[in-house]
Amino acid sequence: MPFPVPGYLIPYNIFLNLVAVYMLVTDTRLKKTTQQLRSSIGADVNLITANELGVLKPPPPGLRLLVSNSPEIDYPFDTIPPYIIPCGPIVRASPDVAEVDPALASWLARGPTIYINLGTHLAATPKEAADMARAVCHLLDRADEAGYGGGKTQQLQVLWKLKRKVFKDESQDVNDYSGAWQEMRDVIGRLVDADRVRITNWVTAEPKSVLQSHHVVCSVNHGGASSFHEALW
Amino acid sequence: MTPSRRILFLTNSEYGQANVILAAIHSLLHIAPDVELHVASFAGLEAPLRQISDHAKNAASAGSPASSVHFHLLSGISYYEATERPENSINDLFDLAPGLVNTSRVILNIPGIMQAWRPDEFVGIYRETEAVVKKVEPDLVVVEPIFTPGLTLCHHAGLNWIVFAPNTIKDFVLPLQPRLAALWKYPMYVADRGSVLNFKVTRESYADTAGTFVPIQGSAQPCHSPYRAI
Repeated sequence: MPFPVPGYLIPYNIFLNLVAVYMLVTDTRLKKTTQQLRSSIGADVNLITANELGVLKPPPPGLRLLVSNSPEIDYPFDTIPPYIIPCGPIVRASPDVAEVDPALASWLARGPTIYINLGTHLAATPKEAADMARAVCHLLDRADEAGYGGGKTQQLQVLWKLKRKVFKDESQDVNDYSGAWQEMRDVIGRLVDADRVRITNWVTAEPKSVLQSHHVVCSVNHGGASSFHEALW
Repeated sequence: MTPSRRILFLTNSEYGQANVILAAIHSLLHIAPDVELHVASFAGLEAPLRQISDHAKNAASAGSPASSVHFHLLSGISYYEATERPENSINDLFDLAPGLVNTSRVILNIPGIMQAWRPDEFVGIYRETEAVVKKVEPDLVVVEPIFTPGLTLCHHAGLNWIVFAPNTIKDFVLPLQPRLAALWKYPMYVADRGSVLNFKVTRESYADTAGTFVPIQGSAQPCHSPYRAI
């Protein structure tokens, strides 16, 4: 939803806020947790969640919040209370990729690289992975046609960290294309064989180490704060 | 000898929550070796902490005090594992395309985000954390905003504490905006996760922004924010 919320979406936005009110009134999870706390710890314990830090109401008096972001890249606000202390963005230091994985470092140095990493938790179904593979193939073919990168010696390549959504006896091994994963092989196999595309479920180097190698020209990520800030850094 | 000051960090072990704390610890080990650092978290955080600690020891020059961080294991299940349980449907809901029904369902499950554990487990983690606090006797406790047992404990016990959030400022200030702006101006919380970061940003000169503390490998130096919204 865009910011500021456009006129025609305001009713929808208000509706969603009302859903949140309904949630507060009818939820049992937080109530049960509070009951358990009160019977085990003491009758005067209050459950404090992020809701009580400012998401839904202001935090307890005297409490300050360090927030890893900057007003410059956040939404504009009429008021930022003094107990909110923006101190970011913060990215974690990470070692050079050459220290951690020299083989990967050499491969990255071969040409402009696209780094696809959609986060620790996201798992792709065979269909989703195949669809994305089609997009990758299309991109690389167009790049080659356009002579991107300067020709054969500096071609666009893709490092893709892929976690599979597997059921029962299916394989997490990204080199195993049996069953439903055959479609993926059909789509992108030729690029994997040519080592233009590396698909792996594990990259030893941290994302930021890969990004700071200076060979990554595009970061495809899930939009998490760390991914966002690391890519811009 | 003056006793060290002690800081205790309470955090979940997921990188999305712990990254900023790991970054702060990395820096503190370099710039404040006289401060004793303690972390209470689940098993997954032990390895990254050890890495940071080893790195700091290697980087410390001869003669300067060796810094390290003390890890206190919480034996409950991690936040993410708790959200994967069938009774907490939040991960499945995130897989759905946004829309009126699906977004409403996510909102109705916000409690599962805020408090992912079963009530008795929650009390167990609370007690474990309380035991760590009693053992460490910190001068300051730093808590990340989804580690709800820590938030509850610090408030109840009246500790000297501060929240350290990887979030955007928007997550904490909407109810305070005048004229009920939370209703009509700002996109509702989960209809919009992270989209504030889709503002166009550009790396421009660093000159006129407030200094932003960013740990650089091997040393900690203040650095101007690289972003300017356009």
